[in-house]
Amino acid sequence: MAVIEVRDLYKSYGKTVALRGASFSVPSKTVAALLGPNGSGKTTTLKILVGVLKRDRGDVKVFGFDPWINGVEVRERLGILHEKPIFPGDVKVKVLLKYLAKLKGYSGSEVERVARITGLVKYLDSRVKSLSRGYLQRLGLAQALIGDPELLLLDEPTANLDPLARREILRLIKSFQKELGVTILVSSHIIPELEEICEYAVFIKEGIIVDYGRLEDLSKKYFTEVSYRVVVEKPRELASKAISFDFVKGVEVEENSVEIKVKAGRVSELADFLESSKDTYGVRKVEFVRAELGDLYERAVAGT
Amino acid sequence: MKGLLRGLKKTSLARIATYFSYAHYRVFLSVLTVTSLMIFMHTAILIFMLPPPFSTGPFLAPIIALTSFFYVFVIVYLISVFTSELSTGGALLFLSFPLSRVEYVFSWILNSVVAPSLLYLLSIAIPVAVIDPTLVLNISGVEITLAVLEMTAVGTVIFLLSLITKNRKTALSAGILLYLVVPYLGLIAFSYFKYSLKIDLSNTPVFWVYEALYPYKAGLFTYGSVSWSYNLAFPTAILIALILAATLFYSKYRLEVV
Repeated sequence: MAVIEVRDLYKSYGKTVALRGASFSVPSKTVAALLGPNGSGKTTTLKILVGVLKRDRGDVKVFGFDPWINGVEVRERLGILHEKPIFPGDVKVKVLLKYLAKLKGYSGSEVERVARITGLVKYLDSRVKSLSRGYLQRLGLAQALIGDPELLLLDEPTANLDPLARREILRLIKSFQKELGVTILVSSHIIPELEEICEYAVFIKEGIIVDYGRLEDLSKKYFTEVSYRVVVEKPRELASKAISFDFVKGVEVEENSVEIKVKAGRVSELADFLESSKDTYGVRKVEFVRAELGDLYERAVAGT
Repeated sequence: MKGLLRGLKKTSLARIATYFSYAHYRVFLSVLTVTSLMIFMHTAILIFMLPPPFSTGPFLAPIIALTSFFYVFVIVYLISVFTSELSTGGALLFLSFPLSRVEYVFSWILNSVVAPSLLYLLSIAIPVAVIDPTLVLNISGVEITLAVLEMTAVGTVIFLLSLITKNRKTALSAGILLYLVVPYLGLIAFSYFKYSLKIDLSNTPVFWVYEALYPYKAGLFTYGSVSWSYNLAFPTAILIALILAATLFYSKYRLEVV
């Protein structure tokens, strides 16, 4: 089921058109990338999803609610880290998080929980203005995690961070999906970062959604060949059998796996073959080898 | 209007209280300092300068004229804090939580207009009660009501203007204009017309607007010729209710935070 449904969304700021008929959806329990260059409408999209901006036209549903009209119902179930978040500097971290937690109906123990997850425990008694850029970003993540949200919206979560802090934040985001099982929509223009964490993508350019879907499906759509890594007990035997099929374009044998390149339109034939020969070759696991996100974006944009 | 009423039904007092206490926590020190200063000034004036009170007339006029002139800066300052929170992105943090736009704005009205007006009232009542508790009974309720309503009415107008423009400078300039320039210029103009030109403007729409916005000053101006009663408060109460409705309507349907 889709957590986010956007249909034909328009938004302008005066004469500047930020979104022109954007449509996409994000399924539940997915880490999705909202990928596009600066000024493509990513931040506007996220702000409409959280209900702080009003759309000019179109239909937006988050958890089945219109965020502009039923903002409270939506925001009870989501957390958002805004791009360059502004925090009141003169307030202690603990006090700020306590007030925010209270708005979601949680007590002080929730503050400790999110502080532990984001590594903020020893800064709880510090004033916000004394935090470094990296720790401010952690504070942003901590406030977004209050109340164990079902959906996390992250707008350029690593913007303006040094490489070390950037890695730390990415590690945290990865752990959220693994350990907390939330749906995450990350907006960024930095492709390698998104590649590390996402399995679903929404491509946006100049306010138009160019394409969206699971990376596997997008790869099949935009590439003539896709690759699968098969973890197997008898890799050589499997490889020599696989290469005899006309839908297989190439194989590469590794220590205990085989990477099989297959024609995009004939993936089901490979699946049938692997299913039928599961016991013969000792097939343990089949995983999709994703295409480069940057290549996918370029092809999607070129196709419009 | 139906939508606004439906929206108000969903409004949570708990969330308003939570946000109000946060907003108040941030400005508590400055409000406390100014209120304490007011209490000190009111005590000094009551002890050393005031003639014996009589309950029917505006005997607090010298106090209110002097101290409210300074105290309105607290309201203007608090509205400007609200405006800068809206324009610089501070509001975005809280509005990304389960706090509706109506609840957010209503909390700020309470914090920046209503609470300071009531604190001003307390800053008069406390010294009076301490000096001589029986004096409290002698203070004209009409006078206090009109003074507090005036502060609140002008505050709500400035608040609405600031909300729409999201501009701190608007809050400051509207504050100075509506609290300190217009009421006194108005009094000077009405007096000039009445006493020099012998034209009584008190039955004209211009005066009615002035009276609704500045009931206390208008009451002082017409004192003696118009009955000094709670009737003077009704137009202002209606004006406050209308501005409040317009503010909440704007918050619900138009307020966007970038």
